Amino acid sequence: MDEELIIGIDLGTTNSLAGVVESGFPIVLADRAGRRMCPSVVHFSTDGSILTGTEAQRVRALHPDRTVASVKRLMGQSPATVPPGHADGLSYETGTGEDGQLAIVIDDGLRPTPEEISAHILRRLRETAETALDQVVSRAVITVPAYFNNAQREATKRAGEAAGFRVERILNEPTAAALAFGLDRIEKARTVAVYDLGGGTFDLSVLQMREGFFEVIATAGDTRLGGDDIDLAFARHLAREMALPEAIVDAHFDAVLTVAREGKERLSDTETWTARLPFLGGASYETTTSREDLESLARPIVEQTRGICRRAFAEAESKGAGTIDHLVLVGGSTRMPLVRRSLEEWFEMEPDTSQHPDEAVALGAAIQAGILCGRVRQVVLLDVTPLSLGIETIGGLMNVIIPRNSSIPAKAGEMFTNAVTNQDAMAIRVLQGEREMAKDNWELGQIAVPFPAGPKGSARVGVQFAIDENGILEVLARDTATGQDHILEIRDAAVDVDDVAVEEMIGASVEHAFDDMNERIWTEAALKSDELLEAVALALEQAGDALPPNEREAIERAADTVRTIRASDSRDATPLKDANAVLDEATQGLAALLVDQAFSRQWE
Amino acid sequence: MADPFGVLDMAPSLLLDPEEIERRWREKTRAAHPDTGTASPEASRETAELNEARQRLVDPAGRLGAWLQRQGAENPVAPTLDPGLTAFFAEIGSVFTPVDELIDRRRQATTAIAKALLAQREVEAQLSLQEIMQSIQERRSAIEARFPAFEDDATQGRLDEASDALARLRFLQKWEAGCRERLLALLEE
Repeated sequence: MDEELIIGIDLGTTNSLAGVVESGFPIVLADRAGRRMCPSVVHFSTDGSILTGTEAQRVRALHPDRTVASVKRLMGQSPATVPPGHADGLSYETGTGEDGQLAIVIDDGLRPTPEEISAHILRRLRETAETALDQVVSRAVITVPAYFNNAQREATKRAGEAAGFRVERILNEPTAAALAFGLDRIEKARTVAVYDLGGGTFDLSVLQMREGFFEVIATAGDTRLGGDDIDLAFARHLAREMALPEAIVDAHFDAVLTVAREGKERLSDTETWTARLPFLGGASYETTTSREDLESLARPIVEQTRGICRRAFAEAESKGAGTIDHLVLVGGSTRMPLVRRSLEEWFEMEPDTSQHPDEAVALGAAIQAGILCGRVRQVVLLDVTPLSLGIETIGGLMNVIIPRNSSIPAKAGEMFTNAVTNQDAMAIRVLQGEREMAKDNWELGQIAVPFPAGPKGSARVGVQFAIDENGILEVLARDTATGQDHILEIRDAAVDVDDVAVEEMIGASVEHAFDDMNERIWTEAALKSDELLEAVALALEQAGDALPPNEREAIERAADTVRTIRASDSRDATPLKDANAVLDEATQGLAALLVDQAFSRQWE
Repeated sequence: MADPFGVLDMAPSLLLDPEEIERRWREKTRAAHPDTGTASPEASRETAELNEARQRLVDPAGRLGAWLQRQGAENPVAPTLDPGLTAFFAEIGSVFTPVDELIDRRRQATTAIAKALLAQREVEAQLSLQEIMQSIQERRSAIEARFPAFEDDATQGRLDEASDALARLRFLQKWEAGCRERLLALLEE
């Protein structure tokens, strides 16, 4: 075993941390100013210098377009999945780089990729570690959300390498947290669930700890759901409450976000709080808000985690996992009383809050780093691949080769033969996801299976798909005649797109951005109105009588408003969207009634 | 595909105790895993093989398939369904089709109220799927109960019933997976 020191790194959406095992204990490392958390922010000054961490955070409100935060959301993505412009909630612009890959547009000559941005942050952490430990550090374990796909993992690994690390392991965040939780509870066999609500991603993993093995049984998640969404909703609400003029909101949204974040934290401890924005565009703004307000905004976002949890629990159960002994909370947003209450309500389990929500993942990464360089007793971490891996077959269907939640390392093989005489290669689309149709899944790329020349049906090439301990895919082809193995490169389909086509795609959308956008939003709102009106009519028929009269009146009034606006000539989407929202809200009670009725009928 | 009994160093028997399989797998994985030794492509591949072997042997259908391979039996090329199973398949189809349509409608609904209108049908769908799964599990248990008989038959060179059983177990597995996927889809918010 190579015993040279390895550090653990939590590369988070909002904050990053580095940890190491010292004298058998995992600790988080602090920088020269004593700070353990490094904001995942990078700023590009006009004079050419680059700021990272707290220094970059400080100038963010002044120069939001040259400051990159939450870049984790863009890792492994492509211009196809993140259209050029200002993606939701991001203060900076995205576009394409030289080779057609996704890049951040600072100015014309400066288009760093998400990987390069992450590398700046990782480099900063390396400096922190080297200073704190007074030695060169060149090996690291880096964490990723469990639900990250192959492209996202590879991008993270490359970012680590660009920062000068040998990346020894890409480790799933909930697994890391479980390691931090369970390392000194290892004697007894237990089943642990980790609920990890980070800034930009959500994961739920169910693990079994037993006889020196930490084995993940099932995992589920969403790589685009997190505390950031709550911050965004709260920021918008505060802007409305403070009656901030639109021009101010556009120019200083980052400042509003910062205040919203502060408020979210404070309202975990107090019931009311006053948001203050002094000196903004020559005026001061303030408003008093309550925990109740925040919770009603956060509730729909937290609700989305419920279905994901149920899925993971159902899968764990079908694989023989017993009852959950501990439900461990990780991630800053889990400090919210709403999260804790919701989990108790849904699953009748008191969540375990013994782990530091911000540091557990880094500590776990440090432990895994320690295991890999011999500083910690031998514990075997067996993770799973979160998404089914497969190839596209006839009829546009997805043929699963390695199912989701398979223990990794994993491998599986398929045989291919030539369909045409002297066919020299066959192109196969490799996909990750759970949908039946290939097109609904995430494409990892294409492989070209080589055939030796011969009559149709004569060639036998075995293709082996292997997912390593990092959750990263490798594809090998073996010609059964010669026994020759060679690695098949997965050509990133996203980057392979014809340059001219990409230009056109971007050009078209920029030109028509304003026309299209409004038309699209209006059409979406109109479709929703139609759905709502029809559903409300049916629902009132079925269960309207059981409603208190004032509630029924409120619904009917809201429906009338929607009907009127919908029938008018205006194509202004905002009043229609607002009316839809009011009707949606008004029917919550009715919806709950219907669901109750459905369940109670079963018991008759 | 490597012989899983060989990979885990276990006797090629249909009656292996799953606890014993787990124990053996843990033992060998501890030695081979990249976490505990050197990180190398071999360690990764060896561990993958151990994982695959454990997966196959713990599952009765996988174990039957591996055992038949050891007995030198050919993989059933075109398995035919007996009338009982064919009728069951038709029953499953008649449940899956409306459930798929329900799942589609649910995915298209964007409002809480539209989804709530489907709640009644969802509850019914869940119940029918659970009934099917129950039925599948009963049929699987019946086949697994024949394992000792298969081993006896093998000593006299008779492998037909076992081969047939493997084909049936594979169909049942596929249908059970279909039920699970649909139940999970119904859990989607």
